Amino acid sequence: MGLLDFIRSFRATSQQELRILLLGLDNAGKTTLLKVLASEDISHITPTQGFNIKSVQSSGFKLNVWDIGGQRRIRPYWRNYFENTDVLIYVIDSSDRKRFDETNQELWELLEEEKLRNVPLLVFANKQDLLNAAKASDITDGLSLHQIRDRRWQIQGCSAHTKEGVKEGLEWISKTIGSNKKK
Amino acid sequence: MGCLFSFFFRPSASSDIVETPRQVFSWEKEDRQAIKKEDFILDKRKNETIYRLPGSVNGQQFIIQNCDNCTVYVFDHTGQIQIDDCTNCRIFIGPVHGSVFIRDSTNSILATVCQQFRTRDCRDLYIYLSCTSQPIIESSHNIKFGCLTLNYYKLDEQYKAADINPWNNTWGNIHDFTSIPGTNNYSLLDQNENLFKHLPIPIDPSCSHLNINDNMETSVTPFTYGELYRHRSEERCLVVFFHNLNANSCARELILMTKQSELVLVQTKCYSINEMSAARLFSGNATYNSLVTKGPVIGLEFAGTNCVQICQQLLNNLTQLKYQNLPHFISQSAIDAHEQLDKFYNFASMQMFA
Repeated sequence: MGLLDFIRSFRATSQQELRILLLGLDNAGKTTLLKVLASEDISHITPTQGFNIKSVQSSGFKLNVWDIGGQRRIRPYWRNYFENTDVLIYVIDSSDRKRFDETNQELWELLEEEKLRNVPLLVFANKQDLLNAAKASDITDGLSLHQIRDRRWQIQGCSAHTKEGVKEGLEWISKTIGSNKKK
Repeated sequence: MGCLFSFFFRPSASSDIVETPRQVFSWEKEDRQAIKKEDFILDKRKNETIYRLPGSVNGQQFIIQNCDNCTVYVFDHTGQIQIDDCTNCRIFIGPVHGSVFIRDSTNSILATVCQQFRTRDCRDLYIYLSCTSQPIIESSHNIKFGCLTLNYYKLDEQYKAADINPWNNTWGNIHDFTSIPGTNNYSLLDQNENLFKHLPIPIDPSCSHLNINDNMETSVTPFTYGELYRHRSEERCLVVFFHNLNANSCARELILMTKQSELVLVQTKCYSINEMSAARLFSGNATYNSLVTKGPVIGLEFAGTNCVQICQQLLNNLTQLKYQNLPHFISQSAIDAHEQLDKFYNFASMQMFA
C-alpha cells in the first residue's frame, strides 16, 4: 500500500497522533534503537534512568516514540506509559540467554494488561550481530508468540548497532497501522 | 528524526516498483557462521588462569559465567560482555564496543574499558573503569569503583576499534537504582589504589612483549579524580585544545607537567561543540567559533592552589616551544573558570546524550 493511503487512513479516523512505546529489559538496546530511528549518533548512550522521547510532526500529524528504562526496580513504572499506545515495540537482547525466562515473563505480563489490549506488538530480536544471539525463530518459540491470539504481532531480527533489520520492523508497523481503520 | 520520519512521510510508492529479494543480513553470512561461539565463552572454570592475546577476540562478544577462583585477561577489543554467577575471580577485559554487564557475582575484581557499565545482584566487587557513560548498579552492595590506568602494546588502537574515546571517562559518577537512604552501596577508590594492587600482574611469557603496566604517566585513559574531588573548594581552570593533530600529545604533556606542580586533573571531555554553544562558552570570541567547526575539542579541568596562573605558565611554555601555534583556550581567572566549566559540561551532556 502507498504512503498516501496510509496518511489518508489516519485522516479518515481523525487520528492525528501515533504513539509508539518501546519496552524491554535493561540492556536490550531500546535507546540505541530509538537513536537509530532518529538517525542520531550511537556512540554515547547512557543507561536510561527515566525515559527518552522522540517526536516528529508533519502536516498536522504527530509521531511520538517513548523509550522507557527497563531495570527491574523501575519496571513498575511502565504502566504509567500504557495509555493511548498505538504500537508496542518489545526489544530483546537475543544474546542474553540467561534472562530469556525473565523477558518472557515481562512480555506476557504486558500482554495481559487491560490498557494494552489489542495493541499490535512488534518484537525486535536485537543484537543478532552478537555470536551468542539466538535466532529470531528460536526466540519466537521460546516466547510462545504463536499463542498470541488477541492482537497482530510480528518478530523481526535486527541489530541496532549495524542498523540491519530495523526498517523491516517499521514496514510491518506501517502495514499494520495503515490497515487498522478502527480506533 | 531521519529514518522513522522519512519512513512514514515519504511520497507514496509507485505501483510498478519491482520487489527486491530480502537482503542477507551480516549475521547470516557464511564467514560469520563459521565462527564458533564456544571459543568466546568461559563456563564453569575453576582455579584457572586464562589469557586472550591481541587479535584473538577481535570485537566479538565475550561471556564469562559460573567461574570460581579464576584469573582472566582479555588483551583485545571485544563486543558486549556478560559476566554471570562468578565468585572469587579477577578479570581484565580490553575495550568493549558496547556494555559490560556483571550479575550475580561476588568477591571479584573487574577492570575494563567500555561504553556502558552495569551490575545487578552483586556484592564485594572492585571495579576499575574507563567508561564513557554513567556506570549503574542495581541491587548490589559494597562495590568499590576506581579509575582504570593502564597501557599495553596497541591498547590505544583497541580503544579506536571499540569506538571509545579515552578523554570521556565518568568512572566515579555512579547511579544506583536501588539506593538506600543513609547507606552507600558503593564507594570510590582513591588515587593510591592502582590496578595491580588488587588485580594480579599478568606473568605468562606469552604476554611479556605487551609491556603491560598500570602507571598513571603512560596510561591511555588519563587518571581523573572526578567525584573524589567534586566538592572541594580549590581553584579550578578550564583548558580547551581545539581539533588538531597535536592536540592529544600536548594535552597529555600538560597533564604530566601539572602533576609536578601539584595540580590535579579533575575531569576531561572530548566532544564536538556546536557554534551556538561555543559563542556562549567563549563569550562571542569569533576566533574560537570557527575553531570548533574543525572537529571535536579536548577539555581539561584542573584544580589546585593558583591553578589558573600555573596552568597559564605551563601552557605558555608548551605552545611557545614544542607546540607552536596550537589552537587552545584557557580560563583567565578563577571566577571565569567556574562559569566556563559549568557551560562546558552542560553543553557536553546536551550534545552527547540528548
